[in-house]
Amino acid sequence: MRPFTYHRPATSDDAIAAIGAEKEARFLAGGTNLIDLMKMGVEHRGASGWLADRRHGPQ
Amino acid sequence: MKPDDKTRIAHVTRREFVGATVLAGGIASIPLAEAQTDTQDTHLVRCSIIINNQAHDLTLDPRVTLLDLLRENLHMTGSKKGCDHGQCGACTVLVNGRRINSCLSLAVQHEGDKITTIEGLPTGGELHPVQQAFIEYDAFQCGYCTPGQICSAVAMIEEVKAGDASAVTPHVSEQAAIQFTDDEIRERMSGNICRCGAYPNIVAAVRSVYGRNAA
Repeated sequence: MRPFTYHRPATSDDAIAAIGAEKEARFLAGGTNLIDLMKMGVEHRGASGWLADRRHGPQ
Repeated sequence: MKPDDKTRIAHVTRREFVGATVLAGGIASIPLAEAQTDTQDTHLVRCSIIINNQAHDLTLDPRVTLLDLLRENLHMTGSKKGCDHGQCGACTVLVNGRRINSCLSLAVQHEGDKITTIEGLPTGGELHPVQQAFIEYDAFQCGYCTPGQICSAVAMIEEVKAGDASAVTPHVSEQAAIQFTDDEIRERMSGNICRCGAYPNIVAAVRSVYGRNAA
């Protein structure tokens, strides 16, 4: 899996800001599809790719 | 090879052999790994996870899956890596009591979560009732899928008790108690593949545990 930057935003605003700041960013929920596709190189965040975890922020 | 060498090799377990081989390979590739770290500026993430009632404070590469954390970092090799793509269920563990495929979950996602693996199911030296039932009903052949099957069954029984409907539950709108039929067991355990085909005995084992609890 290619390297990415992992964010755990505390608020919705933080999450939106994190996603908006990076073209390749994705929201991470359960991960069932996204992580599988990242392993396969289908979803390949570049070295600057961001992943914002939505499990721990406000729902 | 001298005869005494042969004797010594015979006493090395498969796990020791694989471990030593992987270690040797790892040492050979260390310069490469360091070079990658320098150029790619891998950022590490701190997280605290409770695994089998034991708190772990970890600093992890965010790419590490929960399964790899358990197996490679913490050496809890009960959870198995079958397909590593969420198809086989061999990696099933419990997160806050719910079953998930640990291969499709990043370890850093589980900040503050309570993880239970097959190693954490026994209490006070006694096997969990589902583990005991798998032995009684001979619910495995090679055993590779078994930790995942057992973790899955433990959570699945709780799902039925909580009234969660499955695809084969009839009359969902009537909200009657779910009948724990073999169809229900097969449907609900369908995320756990057994290449040996031990399904009939797995179904029997799971059925027996539910009957015991209900009685």
